[in-house]
Amino acid sequence: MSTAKLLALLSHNFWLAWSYKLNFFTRYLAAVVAVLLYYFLDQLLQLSGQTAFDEGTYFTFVLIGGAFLRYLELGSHAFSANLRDEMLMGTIEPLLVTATPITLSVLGPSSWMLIQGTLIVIGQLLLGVLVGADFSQANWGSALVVLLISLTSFVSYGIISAAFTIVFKRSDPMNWFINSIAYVFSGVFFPIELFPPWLRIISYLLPFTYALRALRGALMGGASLAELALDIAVLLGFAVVLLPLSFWALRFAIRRMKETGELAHY
Amino acid sequence: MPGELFGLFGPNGAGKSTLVRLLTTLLAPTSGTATVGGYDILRDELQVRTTCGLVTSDERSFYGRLSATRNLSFYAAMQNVARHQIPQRVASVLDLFGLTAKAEAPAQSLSTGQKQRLNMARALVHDPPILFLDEPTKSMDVQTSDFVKALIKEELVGHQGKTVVFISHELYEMDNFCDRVVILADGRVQVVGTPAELGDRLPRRAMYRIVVQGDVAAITDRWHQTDGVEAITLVSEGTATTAYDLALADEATWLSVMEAVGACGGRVETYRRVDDQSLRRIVAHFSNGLQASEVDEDFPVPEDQP
Repeated sequence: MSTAKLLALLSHNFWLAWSYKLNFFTRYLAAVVAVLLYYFLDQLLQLSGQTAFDEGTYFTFVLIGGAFLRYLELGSHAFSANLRDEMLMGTIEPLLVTATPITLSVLGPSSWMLIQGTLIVIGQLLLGVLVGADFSQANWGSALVVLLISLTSFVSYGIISAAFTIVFKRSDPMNWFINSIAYVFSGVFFPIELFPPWLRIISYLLPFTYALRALRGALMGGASLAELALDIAVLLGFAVVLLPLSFWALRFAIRRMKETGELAHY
Repeated sequence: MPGELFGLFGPNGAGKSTLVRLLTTLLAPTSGTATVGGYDILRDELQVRTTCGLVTSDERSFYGRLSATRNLSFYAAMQNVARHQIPQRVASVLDLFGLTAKAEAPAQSLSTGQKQRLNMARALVHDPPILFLDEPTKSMDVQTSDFVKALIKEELVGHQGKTVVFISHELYEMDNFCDRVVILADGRVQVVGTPAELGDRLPRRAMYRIVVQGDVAAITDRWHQTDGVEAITLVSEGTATTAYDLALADEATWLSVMEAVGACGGRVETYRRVDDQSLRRIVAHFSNGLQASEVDEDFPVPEDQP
């Protein structure tokens, strides 16, 4: 029955997103514009004589970083954004009195956003290939494994973010964390080696740094899983800690919400 | 009890909605527990939610840009209705509430009353045996409200045998409608019973309708000074006669009332005993929230008034 409900949530949220057509299409348009930005940043670097970059071109480097960032934003933001929408529309309570586990009621409405995010990222990479990104050395199997493990971390941040939304309504420290700290220190737009060693410590404390490094290793350098073992082990470590922590946070928030009756508040 | 129309009444802030939110598992009790349809609200949350449907007076609870059908289909899926049965169930509840013509209209384009009917359709889409209706007719006009109440009493309770808990802070909604009534005040149940049973538990009070002729100001002044006259309500004023309802502490006071009229040079044209077992007085007595005089200010006038 949970699969049927997941499909119903997916279909429902697709139709809901589709009902806002301009917003629906601008998401894809934004992805196209981002690829153009990366392309011309690469052109700028080439003008200054910088052609090779981390086993490939800067365009490929930043395309992977940008796509990764988009996925990171989606994974971490989707749950809280959708939950807040449901609170504002007044639809969360009717959902919570259905015979659906509360966790699914709270997180399920984000299912379409995550699928759409995946489609956009794939589209962004394909568009990148059309305008010169080089994935000829890519080890797609390794990339997929890294992405799946990384997704666990992203989703954990998203679940923690949803827990914050339940309790504090508007405050979303996770979103701030992703948009400011992770954005700069994970090496999305430039290698973290550019940081002085003391600042690099922050990068090493973030799971995204390892995910991005492993992803670039697989897609640009064709690295195998064995070659990426260290990064994968660190990512798994983060996942093992973050996933239970996120569900604990969500359970705590739901329990508090049921004691205070504040979920419908906004 | 199964197949019963149960009224939950209380003034604003009495705890009616909180109780319903507890029973539908939206809230967790700070202590103790309860069962709904035989399921424990703490241990069997999902079964409780399958067993009941909830209607609140909040019309802002639909995906406004999606059609009525899409909204209901979604909630049906979330309520475990099998996929192949969803179109039939949705069509059936839309028809029940007279919304078939609006099936494909975006929920946000429906009127307030239509949204409230859609709200009821949503609560019934999984065909639950128990319904909690929290002020379901709040935003409806009189005709729609009467239609919905008739539907609840005759179709849902009468034919389908559903148990309905009808919550309201308006007494007129419950009188001659609910099988039993619970009166809630300050978060506590004050009394439970049929309106007739509750009426029987009231202290005896005599209620007379009297039509007098003469100096009514002097007569009513005299009545106010008479021991045992608890309330005086003006019913109607004619050119020569004036009708009052008098609430008396006991039958013996009636003699003093008659004497007072004579002492003022007036004359009693007619008088008769009238019923005073209304739900309004019952509530005033059991909730202690209203004074007897406040209750009597707009005491319902029987249709056969002089």
